[in-house]
Amino acid sequence: MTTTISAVGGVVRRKEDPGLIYGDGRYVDDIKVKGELHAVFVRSPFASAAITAIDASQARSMSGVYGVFTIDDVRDLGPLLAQVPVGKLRPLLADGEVNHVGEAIAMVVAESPEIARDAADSCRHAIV
Amino acid sequence: MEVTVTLNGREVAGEVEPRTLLVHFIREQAHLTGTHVGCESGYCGACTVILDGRTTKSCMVLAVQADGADVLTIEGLADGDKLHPVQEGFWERHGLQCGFCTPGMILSAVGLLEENPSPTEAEIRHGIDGNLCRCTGYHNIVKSIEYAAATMRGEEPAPAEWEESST
Repeated sequence: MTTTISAVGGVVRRKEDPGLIYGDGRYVDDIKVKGELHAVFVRSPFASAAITAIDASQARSMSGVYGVFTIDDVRDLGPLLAQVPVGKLRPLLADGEVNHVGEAIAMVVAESPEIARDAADSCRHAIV
Repeated sequence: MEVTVTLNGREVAGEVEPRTLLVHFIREQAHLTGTHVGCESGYCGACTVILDGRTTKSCMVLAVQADGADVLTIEGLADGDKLHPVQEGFWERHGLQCGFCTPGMILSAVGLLEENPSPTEAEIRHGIDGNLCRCTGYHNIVKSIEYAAATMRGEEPAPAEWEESST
């Protein structure tokens, strides 16, 4: 007796499922790279406000911090990509004003997420 | 601070900061990455584990609070090659797409079925309402848990909807 294997009409169990249901999946956060750095964003607590100053001096001086970036450091990279071209394009980081709660004001890069978080918390910005 | 947690039957000790969350201890120090960090604020349930017998969002517990506790993660659920009935249900009834919510979803279902071996569809939906699936695959997740519940009661699971429609 011959067995016919058809790709059509049969019930096929997904081949990728066993790994995922055993907890063996591999997502980006599961991948560790030697020397990897971690970024944490300083975000706006206000829906609409003007930024008059950002003081990242303490964050920059902290051990384990590799960099603190504000709009002045990234302006030449242009606006945020992957936006529907309706209305004005958003800057990579807040530029003089914030327009929603959670808008990224600065990006802190450090050797651990904890140091990055602490450094982000130490950034002082004047928002009115 | 030194903490020792029994993870899937194996004692794991590690040095943590007071603020280290249990989920980070599990992922970074025990290297069990099946427990996922979704929202880190208790909404999404991707980090669900079973802590001393209770389903718990491990991003809402500090590692130091789990010192001495017994924790079951998705990696400890199957018995060797033999899937837990809930895992089997998710595979049989297409209870996952991207799989990110799946470990937490499965452990919530395990906790639910321990408390209530014969849940109604509404009770299943209530039982997993702390777990979000961004693929929005809830329909088949409910079917997967119904499959597991029947299997665990020693009954034949209801046929899959695609089997019903083909006969």
